[in-house]
Amino acid sequence: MRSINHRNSIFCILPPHILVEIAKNGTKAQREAAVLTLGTDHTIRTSRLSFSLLGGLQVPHMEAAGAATPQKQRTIYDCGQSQNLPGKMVRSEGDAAVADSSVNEAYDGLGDTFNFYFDAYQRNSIDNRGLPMKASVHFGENYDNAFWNGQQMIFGDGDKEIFTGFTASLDVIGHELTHGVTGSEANLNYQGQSGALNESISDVFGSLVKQKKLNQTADVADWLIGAGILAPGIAGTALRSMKAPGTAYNDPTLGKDPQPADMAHYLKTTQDNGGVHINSGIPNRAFYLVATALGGYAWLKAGQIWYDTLLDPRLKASADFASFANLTAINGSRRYGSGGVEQKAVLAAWKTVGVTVSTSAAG
Amino acid sequence: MWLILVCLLVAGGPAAKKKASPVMQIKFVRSGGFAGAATNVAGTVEFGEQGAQVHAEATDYHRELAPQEGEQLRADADPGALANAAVPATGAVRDGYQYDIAVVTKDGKSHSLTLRQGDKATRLGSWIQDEAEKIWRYRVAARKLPQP
Ligand SMILES: [Zn+2]
Repeated sequence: MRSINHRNSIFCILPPHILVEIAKNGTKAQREAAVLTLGTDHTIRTSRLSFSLLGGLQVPHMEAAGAATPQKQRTIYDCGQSQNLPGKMVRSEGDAAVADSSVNEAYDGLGDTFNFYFDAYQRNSIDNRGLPMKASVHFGENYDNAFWNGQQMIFGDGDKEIFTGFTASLDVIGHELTHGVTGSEANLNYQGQSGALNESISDVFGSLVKQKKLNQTADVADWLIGAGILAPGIAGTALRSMKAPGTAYNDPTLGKDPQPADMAHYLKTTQDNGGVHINSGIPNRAFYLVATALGGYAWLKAGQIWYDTLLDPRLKASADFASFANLTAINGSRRYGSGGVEQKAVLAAWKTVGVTVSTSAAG
Repeated sequence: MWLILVCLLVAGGPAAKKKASPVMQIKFVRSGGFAGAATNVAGTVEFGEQGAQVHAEATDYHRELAPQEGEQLRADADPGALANAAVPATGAVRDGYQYDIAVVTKDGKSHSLTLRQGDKATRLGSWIQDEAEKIWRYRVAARKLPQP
């Protein structure tokens, strides 16, 4: 990116939508000045906008966001089996490991997830501006859930009969932190198809965090979510399978994995915010198909295309599967070339799961 | 004057006793959570002459509600009170639980309400949340028992 040391003063008083128009349609100098002016507005979505307007993928996101050398800032709290957040602070950045394995798992998992995002996509934490990462463990009594509350991650201990504990699986920690990333970017509505995309993006990057930590290529990875948190004796391998949605478990207590593998089996329901943890199986499988078709480390190409799409300002909060698929095709083409194996893999994957990509995106 | 008062009492006038609740049944479903459908819970509360009792789908969970608990729950589930229980979601929680509640009244109508984790706590919402967790724990505990 060429450095620009001055700002056109008139741009400072222009409203953002006009700056966007100039950034899209002005002369080269006007475009750069408009983008620079937009870049001084430290709103969450600015980095996405600048990123795209500058041709997106030729500009490192870190540079567009103007972030300094990234530093992890982790703080782990202990709820002591209460549901009062955040709880007592028990380990902060740089502290030595403690006796409590849940605390250390959360601390290490946040570190691995931070490292993943920075190493793979030069992203500086949840908001790409070095946001401190907070997690609370031992939430509730034998609590069978982990969630993101908009500000931090929260992990239950599990009941030990079915779930061993929600910090035990790196993909779970990566999943929850990615909800924060999505909230900082497209902020996909947590309902229906956009909600299922929100869930799927958390599964995709949660799995990639684990794959990178284990140095696994796409053909070796298990493509399972939550494999490490099921107790022995459960009839299942995990909570979700990205490779074969609907096959992760079939257990007397948990029932049968209801995830569909394609649009023909899309489940219409009002529960679970319109089936966000169910229909996520469809985009999950699309990602798996792209990653395995391209081979190698999944975070390099398939992950990059999905990450580019998440940051693409054209990805609306209300996006459905088809509009997300279109943008993956566009971003695959933009980064790796139109008609290349990458774009072909993207188009083939969405076709397999029954999501139609528009001809303009496919071209 | 005294005659009029006696007639009112015999007829069950407003000063004599509370208006009978129209609530006959509360159905509730917990869904969502990181595990999705695996941790779904469904339960039903029945109100009758003998008090209130709750039971759950897919298990033999059964609990008689204490008279005061049943009366309070029935009052909180009154269709007129449901509007107050509907608190707009903050929308920020991901992987939180969703609670779908349907109140069936004597006229056969169903009045529905959806609450989500992160919503402001209401008495009805807290009761449903606690009861769903009790049912889930019962299912988990039942797993430990030898299977017939
Ligand atoms: Zn999630």
